[in-house]
Amino acid sequence: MAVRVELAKLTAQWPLRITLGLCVIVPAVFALVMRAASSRPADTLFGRWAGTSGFATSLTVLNWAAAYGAPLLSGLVAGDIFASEDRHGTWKTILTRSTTRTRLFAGKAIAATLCVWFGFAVIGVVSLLAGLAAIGSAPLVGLSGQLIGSGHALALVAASWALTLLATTTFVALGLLLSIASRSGAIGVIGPLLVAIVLQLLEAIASGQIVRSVLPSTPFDAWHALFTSPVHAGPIGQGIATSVGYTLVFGGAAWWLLSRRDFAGADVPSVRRRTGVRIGAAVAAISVVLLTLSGVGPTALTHTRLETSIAATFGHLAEVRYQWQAGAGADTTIPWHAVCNRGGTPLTGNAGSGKGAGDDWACTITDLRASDGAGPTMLDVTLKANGCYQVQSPPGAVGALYVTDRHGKTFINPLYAFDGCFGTP
Amino acid sequence: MSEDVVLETRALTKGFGDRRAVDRVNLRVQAGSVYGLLGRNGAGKTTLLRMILGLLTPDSGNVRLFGRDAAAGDVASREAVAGFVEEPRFYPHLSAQRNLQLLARLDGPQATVAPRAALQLVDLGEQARDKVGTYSTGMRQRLGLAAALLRSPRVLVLDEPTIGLDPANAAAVRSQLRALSDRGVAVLLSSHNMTEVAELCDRVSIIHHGRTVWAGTQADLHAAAPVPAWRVWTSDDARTATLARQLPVRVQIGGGRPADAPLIIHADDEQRDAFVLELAGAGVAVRQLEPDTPPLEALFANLTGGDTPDDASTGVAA
Repeated sequence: MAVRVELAKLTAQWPLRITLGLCVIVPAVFALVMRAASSRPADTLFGRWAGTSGFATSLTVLNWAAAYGAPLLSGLVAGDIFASEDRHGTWKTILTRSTTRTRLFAGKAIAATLCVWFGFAVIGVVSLLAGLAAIGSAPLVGLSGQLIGSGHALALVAASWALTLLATTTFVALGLLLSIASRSGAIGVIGPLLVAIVLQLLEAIASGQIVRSVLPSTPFDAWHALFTSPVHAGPIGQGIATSVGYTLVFGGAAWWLLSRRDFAGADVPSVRRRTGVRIGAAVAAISVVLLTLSGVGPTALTHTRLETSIAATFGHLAEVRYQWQAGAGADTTIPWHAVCNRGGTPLTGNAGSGKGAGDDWACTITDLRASDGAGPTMLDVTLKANGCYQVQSPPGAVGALYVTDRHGKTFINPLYAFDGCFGTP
Repeated sequence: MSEDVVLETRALTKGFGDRRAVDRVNLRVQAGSVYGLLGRNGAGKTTLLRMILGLLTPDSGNVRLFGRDAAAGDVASREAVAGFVEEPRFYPHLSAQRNLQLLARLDGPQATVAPRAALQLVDLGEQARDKVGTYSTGMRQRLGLAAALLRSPRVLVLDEPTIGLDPANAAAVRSQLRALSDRGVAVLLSSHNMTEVAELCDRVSIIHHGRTVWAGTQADLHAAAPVPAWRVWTSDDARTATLARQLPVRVQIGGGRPADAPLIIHADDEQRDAFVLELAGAGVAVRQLEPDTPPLEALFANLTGGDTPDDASTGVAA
């Protein structure tokens, strides 16, 4: 019953209605822009394919929804759901009804989660439908260079949104905690977004496994593993466990605070300011600790893993290009060999070296079957802390950005620049 | 009024920092009675009511409802208790009817009065669909009473229920409260209005600095009150003062009084009437006669250090 009451209160508020409206409009507009635009958001995973396949359009939106949409939605809904009772002075009204604080808390938590999930799902559904309608249902190029058929791509895209939807509970629970602790709608609404931005900064530099494994934002990358070949279950399982863990910690702390609170009347503004300062100081302190430890511990970002992934991905993409150009599948699988080095380290024979995230990786890719004396091709590689990378190939070796097939139809050269992921365990 | 004690506090105490807001307060409220709490701003009345409603955890002492201990947050023991503290607050973007519907949903099966009917009871039926954000203070006050009546409570706890109401609506609310108490509901209310307390309450406690400084029935209150005072303007103050010395009437004649300032005489009704007739017989005209500080307010002032409850003194609400 408390859930229905909270949902009724939430849906009666215009800010939420406007937000849900934007959840429909923004992804639809994005799909239309991708259809009409000549450039694509190549820095975003699947962004370079956003104008080619509607599935990639949806996944591009997913990147941004996970980074900003989830914390923003969580802040707007969960971040204000308790603080609004302080703002309206209605705690004394609802706490004198025949319902316990636990039921009230559960009602608000469930209602907030359902609203955020609904908004996030709307973004996903609209981005997919708009993408398919505006761009089309062409097969998707996966993160190991494999071609994913439309049916399979549809299932994977849906699974990606579902997996990320689960991860949003972390920010919902954080929003609830900030709402109760600060008693301020401003802190509750903005807090999750600020925390998300701090986490993104940490994500960009934290290559050590210790810190990466505890970041609440890491689960938002778990869906990448669905598009590698083979699928890596490790990041998915870890992502789910991390999301559940943080949800329980934040949610439990929120309930504990509410259950012990005395409702003695209107708070003095200085109380809220002090609480805001304390919360800010706590976040800053935790961030400094994580920053300090960001490089501690082993890293999964080794040259060995990068070489294995790039060789396989390049090989698959070469097959894809052949298939698109010739209109038929490749009759043999070409073995490729990659050697990667980081930053200024000279290439020595077949031995690679280096570890960690950075934009200073250089890899050579060699066709092991080449009998015409063709040398290795040098690739510029940017390796991110989450185990995904971007590769820029020399046009002289792989061809221009756009190539034509035997019928004269133009398509994007998958080898010109590509993304890949090998995931972090 | 029955003898059943439905609401009781025993040595109830609550402090905030170094300040003791409520200090060992004992109350006994019987079914079918109206019990009044009087006190200045910051005396501890609202803090006391918050503890009774379960919004605050006492530092010591306890609240007993229907013979059982009722800890803060104990919803089961408070199912038959309803009320509000300070100004009733609702969701301003929702209508009154919608607000009550949502509160009734939270009450579940305990809500026995339909929201619409509750609004009719407090004369808000025509404004049921208006957003509460457009309501006046008095309308919100009545809406608070309607919300309290949704569960047909056996104990009603109200913090200044007629504040902000015009005289007609205030009288209607008092009449309603009296009707509820006649039906067996125990009403505990706080008030600044001595007239209201005198008219409505069967028993009264005066709270000062968190402590009960006086408690008793209406009859006890009148017995303890000082002799009434009257302001009188006459055609011959000197003759009036001379005559007053011959009668059991005390006259305040201060030095340096302005010429148009009244005399203050202290007399009960019988003594006053005799004095006025005596003045007339002596050829002194009584130009104006009106009550000075009412006796109940005078008693309150004596017990709480000189100010009446209506004296505006801004401070943290108790």
